[in-house]
Amino acid sequence: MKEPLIVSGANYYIFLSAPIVLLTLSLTLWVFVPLPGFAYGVDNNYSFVVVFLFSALNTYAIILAGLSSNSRYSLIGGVRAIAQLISYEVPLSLSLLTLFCVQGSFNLSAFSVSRVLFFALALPSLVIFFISLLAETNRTPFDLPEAEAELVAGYNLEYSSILFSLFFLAEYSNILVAASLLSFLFFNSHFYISVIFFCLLIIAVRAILPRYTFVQMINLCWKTLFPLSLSLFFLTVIIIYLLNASLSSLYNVELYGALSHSVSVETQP
Amino acid sequence: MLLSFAGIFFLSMGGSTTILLAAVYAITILSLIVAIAFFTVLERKVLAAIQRRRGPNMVGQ
Repeated sequence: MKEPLIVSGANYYIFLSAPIVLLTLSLTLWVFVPLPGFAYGVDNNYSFVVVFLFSALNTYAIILAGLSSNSRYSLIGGVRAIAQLISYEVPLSLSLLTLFCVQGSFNLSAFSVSRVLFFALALPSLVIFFISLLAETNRTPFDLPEAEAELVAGYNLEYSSILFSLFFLAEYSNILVAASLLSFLFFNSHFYISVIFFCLLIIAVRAILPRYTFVQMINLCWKTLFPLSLSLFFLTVIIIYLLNASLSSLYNVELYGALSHSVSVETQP
Repeated sequence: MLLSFAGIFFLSMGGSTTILLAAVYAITILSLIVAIAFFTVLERKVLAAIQRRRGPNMVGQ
């Protein structure tokens, strides 16, 4: 279909604006993605918080798309998508908060992975982050928003032509953002190889895994990933507190927090 | 640090700098869209490669 079809009962402006808002938000995320060797984007002490703000705003565009379509199928699909996105936002942010707790700053460009403690804590949060990433970007084990068997097409049912392709541009842009953030945070020194590897892994997961049911998906989030990431976070806080206490009593230095800024200088070009 | 997009947000009135930053941002967006297009191609290729098998027309030969 070459022209966008607008349903008669749809709320015209909201219907038109939803995919545009979604694509704009996911392209805005790229402003904060650091590309080592080329650009560091917007760079301040809250860049990580702003990344999360923009990725959470995606939910509102999906609400707009689902509500304004004047179709029960898109409304139900939107509700399901929102439940999934909101649920997986929690382990995603908790697993990364663990890393930033070790780092001592929300600054993305000052991020460094040159510590033994970091790798011990990074592996579980890498797993949690990757699973939540698949859910956040609607990839296969969690692609309930577009499960054709149960719904007709999800929140993008009534969209056609360019408006529909905007949804998918936004989705794939989000996948690339997530892959490059993951590579930057966990495999800083081999950034570009890691981006390619994780893109291929995300694609391969689609071919390999079957789809979860909705109950399994919500249970995995709230009964497995959420307690895991929360306990990991508290464990990290306790370990860092104890390390700080013991080291400061021994050497009279404040290691994690103060040192992190002096170490992080080496990552900047 | 070669490029910084920060100026776009603060909309500094610095004439040529603002235009330069806008150009940089536009080029970035364009290359991103191209990257997304090639990512979908890559996805289709990988999915196809995973599904490859020796079909019934090839087995006896």
